[in-house]
Amino acid sequence: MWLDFSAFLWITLKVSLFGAFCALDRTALLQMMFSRPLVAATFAGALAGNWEIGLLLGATLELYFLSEIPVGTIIPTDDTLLAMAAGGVGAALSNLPQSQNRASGTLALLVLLTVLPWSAFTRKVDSWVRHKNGRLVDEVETALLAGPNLNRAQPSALNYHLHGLFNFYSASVVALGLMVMSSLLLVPLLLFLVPVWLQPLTDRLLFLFPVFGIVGLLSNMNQKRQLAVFAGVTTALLLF
Amino acid sequence: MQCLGLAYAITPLLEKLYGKDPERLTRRTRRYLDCFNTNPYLAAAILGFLVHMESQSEEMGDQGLYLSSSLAGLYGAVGDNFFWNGLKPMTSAIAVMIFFWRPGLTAVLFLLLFYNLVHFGVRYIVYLSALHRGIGVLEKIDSLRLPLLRNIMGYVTTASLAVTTFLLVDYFNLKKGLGGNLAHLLVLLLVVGLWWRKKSGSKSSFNKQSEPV
Repeated sequence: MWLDFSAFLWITLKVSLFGAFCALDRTALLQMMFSRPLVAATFAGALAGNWEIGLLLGATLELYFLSEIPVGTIIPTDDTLLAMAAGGVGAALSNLPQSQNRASGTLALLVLLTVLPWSAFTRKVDSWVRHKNGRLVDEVETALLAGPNLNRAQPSALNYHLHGLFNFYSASVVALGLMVMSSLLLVPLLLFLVPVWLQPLTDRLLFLFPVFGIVGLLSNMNQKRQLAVFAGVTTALLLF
Repeated sequence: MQCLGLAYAITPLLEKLYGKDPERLTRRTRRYLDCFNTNPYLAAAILGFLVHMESQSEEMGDQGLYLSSSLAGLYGAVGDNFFWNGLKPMTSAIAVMIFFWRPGLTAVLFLLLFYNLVHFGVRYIVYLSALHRGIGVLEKIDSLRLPLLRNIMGYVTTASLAVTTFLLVDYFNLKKGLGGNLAHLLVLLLVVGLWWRKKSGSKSSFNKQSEPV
């Protein structure tokens, strides 16, 4: 098993520094859906040299976390960071010699199994940054009270607002770096351990993630006649 | 944290109105740092409303701030339901369906284009309406019939998920050894079984946790 650690380090840096901009789109800036797993994982995959596997991982994760809705004061799992890490790691490892003779399904499954345990960590990071940014309001108030000087007071509000963005960005860079580097070291070992005869099964097991996502979303929607619509569409597809 | 964004957004107007009186400018800026929490997209309506009120006089600006705390709760409920429970799941479900039907960047492009077309459209309409009509923006938002649209989007999402369930069989080549219709039926039974299990309230391994603030 041969691993190019300098290439891993370079990919980790690229995915962390550029990918964290996608993470900003999640709550701090724009919210134009660049932070959705489908987009973020494809972008991370492109950064690491293989957007196709990034897209596959993104589509798999897109539905998986969709049932967690950011309503009120609930902070859902940061699926952007998980998707970026998964897309970057999957793309980086798809070029390894031990991945060459395997279908992308097994690699994608192992990447997800190593990245998803970080879910709780991403929620903690998000919660920590929000608490830290919550204190910025007091700092702005203090700066404004320091004196009714236009030149001092007005730029302070502007600067603290941008400081909040920087907090989100830097926390995302660190979290992404940790997730990508650890997974880049762990997944090749797992790939080595999965026997070739098990591959037809591991290639297909990835389908469980979209299934869990579909179930989670259907359960959360609480729509009248939802089962009738679902059954009607599937029956029509089965018949025709 | 949204209050900092609100203060940041309204600062150019405050500078224009009170720029010659630094003490007043500071006082007015501080008023916009009060707690503020709403749906980020419909926040545009509140910003437009506050600009409308503040432009008239300082007293009207205070009244606007007083009313905006009630509006924030209302728009938070309406906006979260429309965007987070309706538009986002529908766009994602259709994009994933497109991916499993024809793998490629079309799914990504659809997600970005469709969602942003709708969300920028709503933002633009409600901001301009609030800017010109003040509290009359409530009628405008009511005329958009967001709850009805959200219900329609719910059905589209369900239909897309049903099609995706069907497409998964082909994408992951699950027909091999089982036959086409049997594989489809098994996956459908799996989805419906897990759905029923989750609906009936039992804890399952795929229940995910969220972090309260």
